[in-house]
Amino acid sequence: MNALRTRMVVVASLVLAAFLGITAMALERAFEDTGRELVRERLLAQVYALLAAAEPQPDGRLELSGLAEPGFSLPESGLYALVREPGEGTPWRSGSLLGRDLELDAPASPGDPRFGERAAPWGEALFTLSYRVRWEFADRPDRVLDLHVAQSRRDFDERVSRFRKDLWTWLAGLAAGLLLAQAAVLSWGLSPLGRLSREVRAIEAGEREYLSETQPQELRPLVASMNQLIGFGRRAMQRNRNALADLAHALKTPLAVIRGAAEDDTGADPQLRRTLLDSVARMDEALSYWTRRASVAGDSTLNAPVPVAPLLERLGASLAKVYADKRLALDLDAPPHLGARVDAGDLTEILGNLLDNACKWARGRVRARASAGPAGRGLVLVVEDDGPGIAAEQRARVLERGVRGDERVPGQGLGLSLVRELVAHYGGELELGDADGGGARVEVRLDVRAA
Amino acid sequence: MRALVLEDEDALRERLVARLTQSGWAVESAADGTEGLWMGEEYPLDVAVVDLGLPGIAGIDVIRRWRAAGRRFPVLILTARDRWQDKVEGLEAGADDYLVKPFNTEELLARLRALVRRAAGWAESVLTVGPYALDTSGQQLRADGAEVALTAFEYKLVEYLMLHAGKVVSKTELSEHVYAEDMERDSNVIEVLVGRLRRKLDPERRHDPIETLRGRGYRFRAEAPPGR
Repeated sequence: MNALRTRMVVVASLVLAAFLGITAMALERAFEDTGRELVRERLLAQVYALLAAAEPQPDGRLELSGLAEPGFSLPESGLYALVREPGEGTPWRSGSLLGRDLELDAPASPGDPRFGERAAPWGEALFTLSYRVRWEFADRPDRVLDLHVAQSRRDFDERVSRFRKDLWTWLAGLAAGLLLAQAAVLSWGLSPLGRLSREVRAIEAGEREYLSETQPQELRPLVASMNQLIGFGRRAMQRNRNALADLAHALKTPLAVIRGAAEDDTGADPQLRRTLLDSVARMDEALSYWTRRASVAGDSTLNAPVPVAPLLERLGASLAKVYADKRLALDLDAPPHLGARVDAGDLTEILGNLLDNACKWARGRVRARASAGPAGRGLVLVVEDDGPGIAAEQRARVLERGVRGDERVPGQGLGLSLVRELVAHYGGELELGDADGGGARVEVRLDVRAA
Repeated sequence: MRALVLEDEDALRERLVARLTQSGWAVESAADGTEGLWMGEEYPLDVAVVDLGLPGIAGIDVIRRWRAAGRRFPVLILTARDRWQDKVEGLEAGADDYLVKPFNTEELLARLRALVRRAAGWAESVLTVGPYALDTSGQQLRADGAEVALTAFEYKLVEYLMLHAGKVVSKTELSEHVYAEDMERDSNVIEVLVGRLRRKLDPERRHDPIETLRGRGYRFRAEAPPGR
């Protein structure tokens, strides 16, 4: 019942069923009433015909001559008539009754036809009409005659049931047509919602950045709000990062001054200088670690897809400058259209740190490969160098915060542990291993959409 | 070597200027982007140290505008921002190296020397020209394996000449890059010092390492040094 479509279909179907049912009942009833009225009129006409044909004889008999209706004379024709004279007997009965009798109520007053239904003693359902006439004679006393006419219901019932059958056939056809039309209207009317949800999925899949603005009027405010929300999420992250960068800037410059002073002032107490330098290093490391950690965007469905190959190229070009003296061969490989739904800053941070580490340790060659995981799920990054590698027993340690694989290489400590934190944020894995022919190999698998 | 220090934090800038001067650099300095931009466009710099968080024009834009104006001297970024996006942005703007604050001053000096050397086309920190080997990190010159004792100023001269070995260096250029102040520049003094340097480098007059090209300047004579 949660689906709009289900709700609308159920409600519309119920309304349609009620409407058609009531219509059918009303039509049936109207048809029956009209039919009954026709029967009554016909029976009345028969009564008049009987009256016209009747000739009461002075001896009390009743003669009917010149009856046009053949039904009265055919046995079991379904049309019956009899004339009673209250207190006197039955002066006449139609040939169709042939030895049968009918008990019928006497009409209340002359000239007032009484229409009714009853079952005949032989089981046939009948419409009946009774009519009382007072026959006045000039020469003898008046006679009161009750004329009873009856007609079998058979024809009527057949006609009604045929009508009912036709009616229901048509109504069923109409219902089917209306339901189809309703389905069509619904799917047409709801299609913008379907399109909208496809667009949202496309945003999740990284195929688009925002929802399109061409929407039906009713959806426009919603779409505008959603786009605003998406933009807000992205901007909020940027503001957060800028604030952190400003904080780092505000604190690190004074730290640089303190560090410079402690290094240069050779006249000062060596103990004091060492304490100062240690503290500065610790503060710097904590500041770097926490500001960088706090600026991790993490996995968000709002992330726009990041093209991996150009990012790899940019980082490679930057590191080639920084490590120009080592004249490293940088072998970077990513499928040209590979895009990953990661925050661009996070991916830059991961790849930057991995590549920087590799360049630091490499003797002459650094390889980096990026690819989509199996079935388009996940981004796989492999960075290898031809340096000394990381001994198996050291691997767990270098991932710990602030532990340096080699104290001689400054800035080494934070890189890998930060990458590990970032990877964990994305529900991914980081694996340290050996590259072919020695050297370190870092493999990172991020659980993000990549294609 | 002439360096520009572009840093808005006074204490840090003054300290850097002092340390660079102490290690033999001719140093210019500025505290805001506008002045720094102008200095980079007008002065014969060998290297610039630029803080990214500058008042006036942002450091990154200063670098972009230097590059757009065709200024090729190497630039080292000093930054408090250690995210890779910032580093890459800085390097793409035209910087050659970066150092994150707080930094080790010795490392900064080593990086600056390396940048200058690299900009002159040398890949190794020891410049070897014929029988001469100049260790730029140890600031030491050897001739045929024997150490040559040099004054600070003589070292500056030989370093500049050897960095540009095989190229003609005018007296003006030489004085611009080794003197800290304009007023000290005097071509006669340069001539005297070059003469003294010649005697120290080649006491037996066998190699004649520094040629004089009349009216044009000096050239450190060499077969093409390795790596050029």
